[in-house]
Amino acid sequence: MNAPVRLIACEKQLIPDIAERICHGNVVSMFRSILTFIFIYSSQSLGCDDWFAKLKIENSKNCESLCVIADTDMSTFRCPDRCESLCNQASENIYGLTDDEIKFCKENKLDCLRAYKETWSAEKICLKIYPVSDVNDESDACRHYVWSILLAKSIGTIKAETVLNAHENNPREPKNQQAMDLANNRLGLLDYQKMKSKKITDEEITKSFIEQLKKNSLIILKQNYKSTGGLP
Amino acid sequence: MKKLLVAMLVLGVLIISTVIYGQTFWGGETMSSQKVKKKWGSEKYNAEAFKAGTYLDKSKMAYSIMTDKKLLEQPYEKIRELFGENDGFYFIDSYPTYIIQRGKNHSEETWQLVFRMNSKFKVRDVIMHKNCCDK
Repeated sequence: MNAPVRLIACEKQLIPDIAERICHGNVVSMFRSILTFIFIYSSQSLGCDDWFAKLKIENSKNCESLCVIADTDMSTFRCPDRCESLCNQASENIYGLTDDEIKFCKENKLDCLRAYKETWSAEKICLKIYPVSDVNDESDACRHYVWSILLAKSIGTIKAETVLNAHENNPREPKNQQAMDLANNRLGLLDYQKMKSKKITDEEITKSFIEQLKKNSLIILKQNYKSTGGLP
Repeated sequence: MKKLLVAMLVLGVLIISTVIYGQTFWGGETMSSQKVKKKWGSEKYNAEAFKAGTYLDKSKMAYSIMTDKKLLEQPYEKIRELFGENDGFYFIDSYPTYIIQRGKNHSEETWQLVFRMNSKFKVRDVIMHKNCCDK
């Protein structure tokens, strides 16, 4: 039934039994339409990202003009409307990800989001032990050790290793800091693989970290808590 | 009509919750420059004095650093040269981050200035971020 007919049917109650079903189902239909729209729009957005990536023009000064005239097909014909944001998105990587992280994120959108979320979870766990998140100290070692376990738990060991290495592939980070982080990441992954239950809790991760700290297995460049055995 | 209003209300609550959760999710707790000014004052910053200064000295200069437009688009190397080595942490090790108030335990707040970088590692913005605690 087309929209005007449905409207008349609802207002005038011309066809009572059908009107009852259609008019009272309006909210549900509307919701369904909104959800469908969101779904289609988001799929299209993801499609546009891929379409844009294939153009390989993100670093070009004429990104927008090249993007607008690029070939499209039935699934990407609306993508040129988004050229401005696609070009800006490419030049403004707001979260300071490394090139390898960007590559991983483009290929694994959901895992990328999970990995990002776990960075904050790791920091939160370590802030329960240490009062401040510092660099190169015990809190730094904690973040990397905990993050690697949370990542392995969330996206699997192989992808976790990819993300962890991608995160450290940062030319601006001093080599000694990079080595410290990689070593502590590795220890976290190895410990996760040894764990019997893969549904490890935050408390168990914390306990495992403290054990490694006591065994001096973690690499720490700046010992802020040396006099108290690595703990505050 | 009533159902429509309820549906819109539910949708509104969902959107607001997502925005609130998203703000914390994407960056943690921050303090606006106006609140920074009110809390620590607005002393004009001097990079050398900041580098060598105490947390108290640094905190007084925080507002002028946050609001200095000239620092925007400055490269990572320039910020490190001006303000020295990181002593805080925000998301990745290579965001220049400087603690301006350091809590001694979990009940004391720690605040840090963060120079957030864009993909070209130039300053995108400067924020005051809470690096800690139970409070």
